[in-house]
Amino acid sequence: MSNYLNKDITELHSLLVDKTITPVDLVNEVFDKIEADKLNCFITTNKEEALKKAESLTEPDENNILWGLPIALKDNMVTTSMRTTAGSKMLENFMSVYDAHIVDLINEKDMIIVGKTNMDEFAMGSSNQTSYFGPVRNPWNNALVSGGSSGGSASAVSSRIVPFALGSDTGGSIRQPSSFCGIVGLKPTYGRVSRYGLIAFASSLDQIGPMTRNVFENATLLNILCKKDKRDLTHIGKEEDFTRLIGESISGMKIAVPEFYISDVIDTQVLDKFNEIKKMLEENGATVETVKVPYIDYAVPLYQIIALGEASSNLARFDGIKYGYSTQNAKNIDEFYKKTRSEGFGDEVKRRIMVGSFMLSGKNVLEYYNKALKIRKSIANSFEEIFKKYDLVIGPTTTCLPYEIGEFLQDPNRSFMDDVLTIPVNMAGLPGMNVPIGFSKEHLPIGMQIIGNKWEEAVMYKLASFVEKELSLDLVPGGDTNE
Amino acid sequence: MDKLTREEVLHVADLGKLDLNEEEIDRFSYQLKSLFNEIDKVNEIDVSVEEGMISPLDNKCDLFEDEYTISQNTNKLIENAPERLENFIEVAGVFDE
Repeated sequence: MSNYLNKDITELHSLLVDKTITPVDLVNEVFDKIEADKLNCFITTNKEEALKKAESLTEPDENNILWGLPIALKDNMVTTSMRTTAGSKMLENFMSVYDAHIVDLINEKDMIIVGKTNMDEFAMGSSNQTSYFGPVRNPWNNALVSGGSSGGSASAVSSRIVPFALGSDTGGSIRQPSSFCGIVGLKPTYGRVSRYGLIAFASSLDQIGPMTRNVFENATLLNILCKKDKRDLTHIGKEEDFTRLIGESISGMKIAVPEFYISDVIDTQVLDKFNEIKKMLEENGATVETVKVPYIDYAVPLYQIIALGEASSNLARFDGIKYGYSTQNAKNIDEFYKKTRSEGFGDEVKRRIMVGSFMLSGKNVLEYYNKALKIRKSIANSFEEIFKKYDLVIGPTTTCLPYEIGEFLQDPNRSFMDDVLTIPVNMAGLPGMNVPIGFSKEHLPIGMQIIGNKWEEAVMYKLASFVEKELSLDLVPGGDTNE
Repeated sequence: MDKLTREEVLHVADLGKLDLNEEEIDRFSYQLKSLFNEIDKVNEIDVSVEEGMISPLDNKCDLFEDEYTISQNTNKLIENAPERLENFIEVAGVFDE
C-alpha cells in the first residue's frame, strides 16, 4: 500500500504539481485504507464517483493547494452523489436532491469527496455509540470510543485515511472527538460557514467546521468554506486568510482561563497536561490569568433545554411521508406518524425529542426555556467582557480521557456531561478549537481548547500553531510510518 | 430510584409523536426523570439579565429578495416519498380505515 497520505498537504501539492503522483493515486490509496479500516469510520463511500472526478483532474492548479486532495464529509451534510443517513435508520436510504453549500465549495476547489463518515444518530451523542451503523473505534486504542458526534471524521483523519474531513458541532461534536483522537478540529464562529444542506439539530448552535491533522491544514481548509451563501439567512459570509498569523510570536498575548475549566471536574492527567502548557505559554511571553464566568457550570441543563427544544422542533419533519423511513399498516395518519418515528429513531434521539417537546410545552416555556435563554445571554455577556481584556480563552477540551465502548451507556446524562467544557462556546456563538497537547500515561491523546472572540479564528490559529510547533508531537496512531 | 409516572412518560411521548412499548415506558421513566432532575438545576439560578438570547447572531439577517425562483425539481422531490400516486404523495387517512 502506498503511503502518500501521511505527507502534509504542502508536500502532496508539490508532488501533484510536478506529476510524480496523480489524484487517482491518492483516491486509490484512500480506498485501500478504507477497505482495511477496522474503526468503522465510514457509513457510505463512492469509489466510482471519486475515481471519475480524480480522472477528470489532469492539469494541476499550482495556485490551489487543495487541488486533487481527498476529503470526507460527516454524514449529516447532504450530497446528491451518495445517500445521507445522519447515522439513523430514519434516513438509511435517503438520497438528497441537492448538495449542501459546502459540497459546492469543495467541488469548486477540485477536491474529491470520497465518503460520508459515521456519526451519532442525528449528531446526538458524544461517543459515536448512538449511530444506527455501529460505534466508531478510537485509533489509539480500538476498545475505546472515538468521541462524538463527529467520531467517524475524527477517526478517519487521525488514522490517516483522509487528510481532511468536515464535522459539525452543536455542543462539542467537532472538538471533543478531535481531542479523543488527537487531531485539530475547529468550530467556527456562528454564521461563518453556511448551514445550507446540514441536517439541522439545534439551529442556533450548529456549525460546520474543519477536522485535520495539523493547524495549517485546518486554516487552509477553513479558507474555502466561508464564501457567501444567501440560502442560509444566518450566514454572514466573511472571507479572509486564516493562515495569516500562523507562526507569529505569542509574546504579549493575553489569555484567560475560566476557573471552572481547572476545577475538580477535570481528570487529573488532563489537568496536569493543561497546566504544563499554561506554564509553557507564560515562559514564552504570554500572560495567563484565571477568570470567573458565572453560570458556566450550568452548561449541561442549559443545553438540555435549548438544544433539545430546538431539536424537537427540527426533528418534527421526520414523519415518513415526504422521505425517509415509513411504517407499514398504520390505521390512520396519527398512528402512522407515531409508528414511523418510534421505529425509525433510536433511544438517544427519542429521549431528546421527548425532553425538548416537554420544555417547549405549556408553562415550561416560561419556567425553563425563557430562563435558559437568559442564562445563555448572561454567559455570552461574560465572554464579551473577557474579550475586552484578553485575546483568547483556553482550557482543556474534555473533562476525561477516551473511555471504553459500552461504558456509561445506561447514564442518559453522560453524553451531555462529556461536553460541559465545549457547550458554552456554542451558546455564545464563539469559535472554539481543539489542539492536541500530549498524551496520558496510557498514551491516549489529550487536547486543549482555544476559544476566540467572534470572527477571530486567525488569532486562535496563531496560538495553536505555536503550541503545535513547540510540542512537535507524533500524532500518528501506532507511530509515523511516513519515511 | 426516582422515576416519572407512567402517565407522565406517555404525555411526553405523545408531545414528541412517539409510540412507546411497555419496556420503553419503564426504561424511559427512570432516564427521563434523571434528565429532568439535571434540568431542574437552572432553578438554582436567579439571573439578572432582562432579555434572553435566541441566536448568537448580532447582525441583522439579510432577507430573501421577493422574487420567483425554482429551487428544486418537483419530480425528483416526489421520488423520495415512500408512497406515490401519479404526481402526488399518498398518505394514510385522518380517520381509521
